[in-house]
Amino acid sequence: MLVSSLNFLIFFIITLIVYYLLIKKSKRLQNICLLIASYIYYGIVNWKMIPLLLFSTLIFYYLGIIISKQNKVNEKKASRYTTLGVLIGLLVLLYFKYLNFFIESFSDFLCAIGLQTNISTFNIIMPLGVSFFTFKLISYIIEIHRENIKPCEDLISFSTYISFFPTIMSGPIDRPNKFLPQLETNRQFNYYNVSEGCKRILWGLFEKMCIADRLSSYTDAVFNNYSHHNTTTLIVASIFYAFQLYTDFAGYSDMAIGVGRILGIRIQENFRRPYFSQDISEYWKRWHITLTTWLVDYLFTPLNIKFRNFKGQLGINLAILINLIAIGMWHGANWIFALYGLYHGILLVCINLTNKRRRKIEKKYRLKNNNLYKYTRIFFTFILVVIGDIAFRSGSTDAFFGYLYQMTLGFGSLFTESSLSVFTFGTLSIIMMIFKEYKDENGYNIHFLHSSNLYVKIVSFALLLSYTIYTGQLFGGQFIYFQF
Amino acid sequence: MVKFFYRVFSVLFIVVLIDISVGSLSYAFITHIPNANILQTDACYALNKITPDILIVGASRAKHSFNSEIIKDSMQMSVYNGGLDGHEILYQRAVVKSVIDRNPPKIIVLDVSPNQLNGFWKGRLVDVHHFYYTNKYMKESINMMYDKDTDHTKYISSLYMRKLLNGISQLKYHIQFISSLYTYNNTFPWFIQALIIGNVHDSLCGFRPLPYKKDRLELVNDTSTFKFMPTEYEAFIDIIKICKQKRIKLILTYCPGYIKDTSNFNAVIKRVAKKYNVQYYSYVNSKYYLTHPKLFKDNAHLNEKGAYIYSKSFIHYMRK
Repeated sequence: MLVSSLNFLIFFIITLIVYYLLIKKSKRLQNICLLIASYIYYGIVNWKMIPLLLFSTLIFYYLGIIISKQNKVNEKKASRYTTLGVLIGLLVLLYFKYLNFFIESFSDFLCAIGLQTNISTFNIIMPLGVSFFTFKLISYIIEIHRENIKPCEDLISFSTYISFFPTIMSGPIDRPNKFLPQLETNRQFNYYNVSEGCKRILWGLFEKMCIADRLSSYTDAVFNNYSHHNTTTLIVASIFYAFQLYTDFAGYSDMAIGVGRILGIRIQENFRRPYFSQDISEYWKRWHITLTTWLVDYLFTPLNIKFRNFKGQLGINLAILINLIAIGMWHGANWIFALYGLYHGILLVCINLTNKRRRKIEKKYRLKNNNLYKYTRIFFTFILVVIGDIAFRSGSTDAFFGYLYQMTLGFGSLFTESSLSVFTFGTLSIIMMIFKEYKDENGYNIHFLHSSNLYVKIVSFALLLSYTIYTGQLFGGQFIYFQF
Repeated sequence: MVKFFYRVFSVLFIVVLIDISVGSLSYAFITHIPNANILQTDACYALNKITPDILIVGASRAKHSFNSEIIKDSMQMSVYNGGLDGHEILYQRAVVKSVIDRNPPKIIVLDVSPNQLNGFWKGRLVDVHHFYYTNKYMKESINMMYDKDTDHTKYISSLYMRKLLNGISQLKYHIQFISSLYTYNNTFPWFIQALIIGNVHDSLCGFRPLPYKKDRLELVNDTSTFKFMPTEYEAFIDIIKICKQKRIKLILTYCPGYIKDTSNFNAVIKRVAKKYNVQYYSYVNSKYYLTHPKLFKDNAHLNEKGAYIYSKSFIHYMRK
């Protein structure tokens, strides 16, 4: 049941009616309603994975209480319990996501050094959203150990936080200190929230159906047969893929945030116009924000502290590389994701090493407020991101290098077979999205869905809704980030 | 609260207005669209205009394998190749029934392949959704697809619950077709394309030859197991029955492919053909074609030269 489907709409309307009408007076009943809805939603996708979600929730709930008690009594014990919790979380990830990958890689390594092996992999089905909910669980116990939050005493609220249906499949990875307090208040039906939520959902639907799903037929056709295409087509497909990846994930996040808003729950923002970044470091502050901040808090910062005695900038650069490789590997058990992370890590290290010199030059030539300089930087950052995205889409290192090699073989006519709608509605939708992001980025006072004029607001909403139904890809595919 | 509902109503009112306008315009476009030799107008033409003596239907293999001109010259009858790339039997059923309704052909050649009948291409029917209101048989075929029980309910033991859930699911699909924006989704670009190209005289009568591919073709193995999907089976039998009823000569065929086929598909179709007493000519594992890879564009499709040879040889069966 995709968030962008009619089935989800029916499911959500039923949940909403029960949530607000029948049990509006009790926050606990509202949480129970959300919890049941979340488990039904998760169960519809794959009911066999419910025990995993349930047990991990229970384990971390009790661990949270124990850690909090031990924080006051025995700091060392609290640390040990926290480590245990982190290990359990990592083991869940390791087993479901990475075990077969490590087995295969080990077997390949033995073969490479001439040893014949007969190691077989396990038949493991990866639970949907495992990377998202385990990260929530881990951050919960670490925050308790750091005494940033108190443990949640209500199992219902805690389970609701972990399994919250708009975010369980594909994030955003909400932090407990922001999410849990919201469950402790009674949520009243609020027209403003509903209206804002609907706008977010509509924009998310537009991104998903009119851009991501619309472009996917073209990018699939080119990436799956890259050896048959020329440089022109490969460049266009890789640019399209960058937009597809962004709108697929940002579209989901927008819909999740919108659904949460209607339910009276604020979900953290996950994207902030990443393609307007002026360098890769800024890009990672705007892309998948909840994952990057999670890793900065729990991996990069501790590593940076640990490596601070290293000579010069070696420590911080090493921490950057490890952090970015972890971000890459979080996406999946494949060397290409490690390469994707390493690529971005190297770019970040380069930025870190040239930062001072760049600032000097900017100051000397007064480039800071120069628009040409700004947009040139945005353009080159986008190109660097697109190269990384080729690796992301390729699925294997061979395919990635094959794609890059094919790109050098020469320009030719653009592949347009059965892609009329991609080049018409797909490109038009991209332009609409860029226009919106451009005006938001520069703070222009032009508003449509958020206009102060009621008529503009109503007409824009109706037009965007009609446009989405008319030009969107009906029966689109899964969200790309569901597989992570 | 009143303010809120006023806003919701206003939005819906505008959407309905847009929906009606798009619906009327699209209907007018589809009924007056020129034959521009593009995929969508080919489908439109096959569904709503053609009246040939010999009708060829199927998916891409039919479209690119039957040279209508050669058949026309040899048989001295009008021919139209109504194949459509990547489309399954539900679409072909609509074409056959529409053509029969207008003027029953003398011969119908139906090229079958596993994907047309195993539900694999079901999702592609969305490409011809916009003929829902302009062709009653297309509407029937689309409804056939949606009026079946959903897979999710097969595990529910309660008959009442299953009926209820299936009812909701089917109702949901029917509601979607009330909206013209949904029904005519994404039609605007090809309307414009067709208008720009204008009416093109289709001397090939629906046949679209494929060029020769210079890369060396590798022989592939098909070891899959074929299974009919209930709706597709129903549509397939429907075609056979209506041809019998109208005394139209129906020929089933399985076009040549550069594929070593060890699947059960051929045997299954043979059984059905025998049961309903229909001619079936299969080119599966044909020695001639397996030894002539130069006759193919890719493993599944003949190129122009291959189509020429194949069409020549097939005339013999039409005369039988």
